[in-house]
Amino acid sequence: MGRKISLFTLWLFSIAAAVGCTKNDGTDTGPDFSFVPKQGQTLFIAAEGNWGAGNASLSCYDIGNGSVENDVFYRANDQKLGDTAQSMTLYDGTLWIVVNGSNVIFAVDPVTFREKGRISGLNSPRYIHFISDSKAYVTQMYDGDILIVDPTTYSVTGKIETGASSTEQMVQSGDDVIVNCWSSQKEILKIDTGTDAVTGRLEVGIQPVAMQLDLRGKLWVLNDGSNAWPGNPIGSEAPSLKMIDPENFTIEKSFEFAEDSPVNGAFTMNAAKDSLFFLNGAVYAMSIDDSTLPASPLFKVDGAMALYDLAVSPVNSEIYVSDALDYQQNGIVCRYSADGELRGVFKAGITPGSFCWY
Amino acid sequence: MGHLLISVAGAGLFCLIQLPAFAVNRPDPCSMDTAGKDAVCRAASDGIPAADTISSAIISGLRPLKQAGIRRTEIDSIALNENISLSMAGLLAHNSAVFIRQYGRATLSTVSIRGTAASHTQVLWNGMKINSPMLGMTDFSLVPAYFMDHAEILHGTSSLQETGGGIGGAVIMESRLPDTPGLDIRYIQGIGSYLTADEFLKVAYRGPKFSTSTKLLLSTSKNDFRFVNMDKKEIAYDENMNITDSWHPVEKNENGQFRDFHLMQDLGYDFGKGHSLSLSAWYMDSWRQIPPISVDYGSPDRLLNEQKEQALRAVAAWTKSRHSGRTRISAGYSWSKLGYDYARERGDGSYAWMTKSRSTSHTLYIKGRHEQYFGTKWLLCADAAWYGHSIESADEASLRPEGSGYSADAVEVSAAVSVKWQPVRRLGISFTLREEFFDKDFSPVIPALNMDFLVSEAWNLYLKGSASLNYRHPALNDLYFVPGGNPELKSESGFCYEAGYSLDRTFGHAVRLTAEGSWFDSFVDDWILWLPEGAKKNFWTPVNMMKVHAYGVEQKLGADWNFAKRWNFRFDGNFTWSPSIDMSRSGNEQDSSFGKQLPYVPEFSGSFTAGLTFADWSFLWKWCWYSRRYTMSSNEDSVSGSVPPYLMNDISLGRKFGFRRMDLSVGLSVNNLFDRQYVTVLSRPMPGINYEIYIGITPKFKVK
Repeated sequence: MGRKISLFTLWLFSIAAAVGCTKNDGTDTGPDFSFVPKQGQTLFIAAEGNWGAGNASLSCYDIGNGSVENDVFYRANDQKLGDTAQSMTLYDGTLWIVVNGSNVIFAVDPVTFREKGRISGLNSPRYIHFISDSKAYVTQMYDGDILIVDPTTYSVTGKIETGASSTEQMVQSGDDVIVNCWSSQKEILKIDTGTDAVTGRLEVGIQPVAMQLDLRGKLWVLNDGSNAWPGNPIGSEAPSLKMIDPENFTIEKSFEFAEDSPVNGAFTMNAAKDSLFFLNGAVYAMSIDDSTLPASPLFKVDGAMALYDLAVSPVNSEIYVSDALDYQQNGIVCRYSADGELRGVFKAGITPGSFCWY
Repeated sequence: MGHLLISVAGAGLFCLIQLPAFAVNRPDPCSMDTAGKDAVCRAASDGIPAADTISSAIISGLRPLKQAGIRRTEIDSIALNENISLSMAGLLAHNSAVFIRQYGRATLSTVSIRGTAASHTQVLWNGMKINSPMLGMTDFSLVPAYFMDHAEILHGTSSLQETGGGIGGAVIMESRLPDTPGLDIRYIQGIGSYLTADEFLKVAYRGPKFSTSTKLLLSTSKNDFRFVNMDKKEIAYDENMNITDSWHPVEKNENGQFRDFHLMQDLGYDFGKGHSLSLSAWYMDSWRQIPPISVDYGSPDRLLNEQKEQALRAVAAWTKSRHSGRTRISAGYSWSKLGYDYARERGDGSYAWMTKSRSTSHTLYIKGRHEQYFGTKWLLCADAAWYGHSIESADEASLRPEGSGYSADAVEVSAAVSVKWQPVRRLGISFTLREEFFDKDFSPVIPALNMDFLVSEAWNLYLKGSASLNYRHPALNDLYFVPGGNPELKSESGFCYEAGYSLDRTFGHAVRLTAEGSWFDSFVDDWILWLPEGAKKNFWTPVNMMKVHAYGVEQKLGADWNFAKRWNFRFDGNFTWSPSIDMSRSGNEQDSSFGKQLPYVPEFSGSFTAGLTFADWSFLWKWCWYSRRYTMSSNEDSVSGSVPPYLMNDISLGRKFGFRRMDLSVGLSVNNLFDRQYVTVLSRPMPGINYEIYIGITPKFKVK
């Protein structure tokens, strides 16, 4: 009987040993890229990923040969980019990636993709805007204060109390920075970069989502109107486009979209800064001198599922449009000529949400 | 003889199939009127690794007519009472073929059956549906397994016997009154890793007419387990702010504390002549911090991320049992108050609030069910359930100064008629028609056909087959949540058919072998997904997005072997192959989701529990394995495109000591025995090896 029990016990533990051992699933990562980014030849694409999933990524597209490298931040650094990559800014040879859900801003070498440093301990950062080599502003989604950071030491040095519930994009107009207050808000703010104080506020419409400065120094503000959410506490209205004089902070022109227009924050200008481009279910373009919104699109994106963002090449005015597809797979970027001829399609990460030219 | 061996297989039992089903229900060890009952149930209720006496019960039997063609997995009562710290999520992971999606230790855990979504699993407690009317799903981490005296899974079409909407299936749980006469008091304390403490007290009494059972459970933990964060790197700078070194940090699971309190009261009165009245009430008060994800660089000290939930569920039931049938009328009430706070401290003591949601739901419930036998070959079942939901949901976060939210009242009705027929002794046929109403919409009539055929009496071998339609109405958040609710949503609809077998054979007095398997094939249309409401919008909305084809194989194997005097070995294993394929065609040739496995649904999974007992000693080994789960609809193998497969080993050892005035039980559980680093959800780390010791005291009373 004892032998029977011993054999049984031996069998039990041998099974235990067998099922307890599995292959280590670690992935050997190392820089192994098909091209080296060159200035004037490279487009960076930050893919937001899904909020809360931590699956944001950075892609790099070689305009010359049309090849793309995805997940370059992870592959170069053996660490994930994080949760919800919101925006990118190239300043003085460094790519600054604002990762909203991870509460961090990474400084990245645009050639090697390696991390150079990071500003951490933030509170849902959205955009970074450089005032000088040693001073930048960081807007936040869940805090109305704008943080002042020192990029040379990767540290927070102060903050600007704005009275807003959140702040978003920033553009420089002389010594002022103009900031839009998007989620459930109506205002844009003017901040004196010398005193770091809010010196002006202007109601421009419901949910100012994006801004551009044209060649004459006029500020263009796109309001999404929260038209998809009639129950927004701030209200809802048709999307609109406003041209504003940043000096005296007044609205000089106003354009209203149709009530159900799917306008979002995809809003950019060409290199000459005399034409505006935006998404409204298709790609639209208008001159800064036009007196009405364009009646028809510049071109439609065939088979589009979730048009997300666009960019216009400063080199040849080609237009790049991202489509998030079902938001659960790598989105695509479609490359068009300036007049809307499709020249290529490539995949970036999940929800390709911002572009940056190098 | 130190143990009792019960074998009720054989010709005598087979004869019972000729009697009405109430007389032939397969014996449940905890409802047997045999001398073995005490031993089995007491062992199972000690809250430590099941030790003694289980070896003594080897039982098999034929299925009653009521279960003709039904595919069900009954969770062993021993597993339910394995230890006091186990939630139903942990229990089902090791004892069934379902997939548990866990967002961390003691955080949201949902059940997915046969490759469907969590909301496709209907959950009933004492006959009342307890899925959140707002979310449509149930958090199984908030259901202590130790409180449940019976649990089973009805797979696919079989769930229509109890309720509609279970496209994947249904989990049925019951708390029951004590079986043994007299007073039963039991106190168990558990102390474990991460400053985990569990306290359990049960006071139960069964008299000739009146019975009561009171259960209390308090679980607290700092839950600050350590893990190597492979998603992040720490960096070191030199004086010129150049990075000189980087490494994957060892981090603590910060902001992960929890405190769960449960109180359950069951009362019963037997009026005689088949009349009985019962009342069950379950109160829960839970406070849980939610840890930051693994790629969060914010300071955990400045994070406020927590969930508070209070819930009361109560069901009163009157039951009349007769030789020819049974009638049960029940009424219930469910109240839940759920708060979720997400804020970060600005650095000056004030908080920037992102979410401050407060939801309250009230549900009234009335249900009637009648089962009537006509001779021995016909059984008619009819039931009707009415639920009245009232919801208040608001977000008071400062981001939206006026707040936002919704109020909704909705009525849900489900009614069914089922005929079960046994034309010949070996054949059972069940045909069910169910009709559902939710909010403003009626479902089409839902038919279900279940059949089985007894191939071998010696092996108790049945062949089974079934087919049904099914519908699931959107949850109230799907319809009305602000922002994003979509009142235009259609119900999800499904068609499922399956075929399989079951067998149950005892060999002599020492060995019992059970097996069950099925092939299932289901199609779901108008699958609801939450997606961003247009690009760069600040909210999401649900849409009827997908067609899904879920199919596969479920296989279950059980063995019970008294291989030597006072020794027993038990084994229960499950294996599932469940491709769950997105069949939606978007029209965009770049869309790679068509034909791919759904995110977070493992194609393969397996689990087993193996228990070895000797006299007052017991050893239990639990194992589960999940294949790679893709996180992207395109099934990418990139670093964030999937979560790696993992297998998990938990063991426990228990010993029981008998004294003149009390029984004393001690036990040790070791979870994640091989210290595997794993996640079930991207960026949500799970704990490595951890321990808990238990001590249980059961006073002995002279008069029972």
